Amino acid sequence: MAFRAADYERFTGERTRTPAWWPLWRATFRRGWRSKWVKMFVLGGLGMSLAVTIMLYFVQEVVPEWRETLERLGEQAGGNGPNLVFDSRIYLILLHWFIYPFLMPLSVLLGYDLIAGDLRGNALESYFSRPITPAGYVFGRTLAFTSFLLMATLLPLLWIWCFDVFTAPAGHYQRVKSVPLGLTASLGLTALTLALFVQALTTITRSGIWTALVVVILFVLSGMLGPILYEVTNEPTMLAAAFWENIWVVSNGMLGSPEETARHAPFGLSLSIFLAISGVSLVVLLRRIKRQAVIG
Amino acid sequence: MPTDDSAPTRDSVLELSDLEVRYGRFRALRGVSARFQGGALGLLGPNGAGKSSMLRAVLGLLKPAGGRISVFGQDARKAGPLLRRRIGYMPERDSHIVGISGVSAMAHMAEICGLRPSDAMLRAHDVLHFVGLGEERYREVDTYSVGMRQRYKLAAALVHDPDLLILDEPTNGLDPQGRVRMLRLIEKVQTDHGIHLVFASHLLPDVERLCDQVWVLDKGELRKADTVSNLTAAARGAKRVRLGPSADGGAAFAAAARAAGLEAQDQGSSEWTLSHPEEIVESRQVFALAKTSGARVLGIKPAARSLEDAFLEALETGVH
Repeated sequence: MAFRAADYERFTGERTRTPAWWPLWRATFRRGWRSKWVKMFVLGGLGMSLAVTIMLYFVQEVVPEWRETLERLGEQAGGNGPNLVFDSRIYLILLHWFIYPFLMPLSVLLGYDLIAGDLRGNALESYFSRPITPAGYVFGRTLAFTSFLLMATLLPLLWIWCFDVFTAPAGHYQRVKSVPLGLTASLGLTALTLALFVQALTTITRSGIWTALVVVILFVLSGMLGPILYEVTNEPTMLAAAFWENIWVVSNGMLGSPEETARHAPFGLSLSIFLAISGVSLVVLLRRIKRQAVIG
Repeated sequence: MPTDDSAPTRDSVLELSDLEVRYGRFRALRGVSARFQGGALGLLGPNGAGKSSMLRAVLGLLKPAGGRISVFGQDARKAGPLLRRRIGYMPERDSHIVGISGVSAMAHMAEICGLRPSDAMLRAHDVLHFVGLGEERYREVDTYSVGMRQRYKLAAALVHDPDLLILDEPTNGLDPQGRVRMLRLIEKVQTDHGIHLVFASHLLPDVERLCDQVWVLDKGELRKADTVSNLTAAARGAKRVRLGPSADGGAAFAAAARAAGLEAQDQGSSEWTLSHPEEIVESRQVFALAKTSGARVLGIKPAARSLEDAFLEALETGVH
């Protein structure tokens, strides 16, 4: 490294007009890569997409009869309709393969110390004495958090879709053309909700371990509560007490899947719960941050 | 009020007009109006006087309940974030990003103030060298000592090259050597590079060394705003007299002065301050007293007050 004089010098370079949240986005995104666990989960997602791609290659290129066989089996097994047809329903299943083993653990791994760390180090006072507002801070952090989650889940799924479309027989595109939009919408909403929820939680617990525990406990407890309430009342709306049920219903609705929904919570209710969790988390986040940095 | 509110405000670095800050029902600042034209301003006051509240209000971290704050002629609330590119703030409490190296955190803070990533990193290295943390810049700030963290905070306040530097108790927790080092750094930045300084401290010698103007706050009110030279100037024509060695240390001289209706205060080392509540103490009067008491006068000069005297007087009398 070049020798640098230990004296103060005025800055004579140019200043950019970049919004103040942009460096925060970059820093948050880079921070995600530093964790070996995060890297493992991202690589796991890529590995999963590779495995599905190889499977698709065999089904569609090497042994084309496999596809027809699988579809026939699906029709026979489903009774009411095709269950293994390579349409949006398959993508709904694939989506959940990425949500539970990758998106949810990543949201805890990425978010557990994101704002809690800034609270512990009192970094907010330094941030807000600079040209960034609490809203800009939350925006930059959440955007980076959500982008990272989508990079690890949506990109592999889109890759699978592209491979599927390019290798499938003619006419297949028509059946799955709305899938990318549905995947983006459902994963985007799930990732955003989780990002806001985990960040809001860290402003309360201020501890990574507690945040992770609370997320797991809430998920498991809500997952038990929903079916119990449904059994007691026989009312499908009660299933909305389970977080996983809402993820299923919302992604199902956004993918336009032909899934029977009689034994599921209504789409509108599940979507409202997602939006309510996001909204309340955002309010909590902004209030706690402003209070911490004494912004009145 | 100590300032003339009708004067033009274009060149003011910082101007407060009837500023009021509240925490619920508690009024942390009550109708403070003052103007800082530039240079180095010391913000003095006992704990809870409202110094930090004032600084936070200037930075927009606190929303004033009333009044107006103008920085470089711009309304602080309207100019908001862009104005903060021109301000460097060193908070009293520790403030750092956990889990990353000092230089990375510093560069990140510079980028937020509008520096390009490459410039920000270069500048981060430079300011860390300047404050003497060049060797430690790749360590996480969490592992720094108290003195290093104070210097790190100063570097973070300087990394985007502000025009106004606001320091809140920068010498807190430092040992004497660290304190001197910190004051030298601040002095260098202020005098060599013309960066305006607002320096909040309850350590009067630090303020006296660095600042040319002082605002004294107490219980949320501005008690005094003046230059340091005015505050420490000769008080009511008093004289400081240095006497030659004598067996009584000048006691006879002091007795003669008191008999003549003067106040005589022992300053130690055979030095005495002679004053009169209404009249100027003349040199010939001093020589006459020396003659009658048998003392030998080695020197006479106008008696200056320390900033501490002025500060205590401002707090006691509440003079505006």
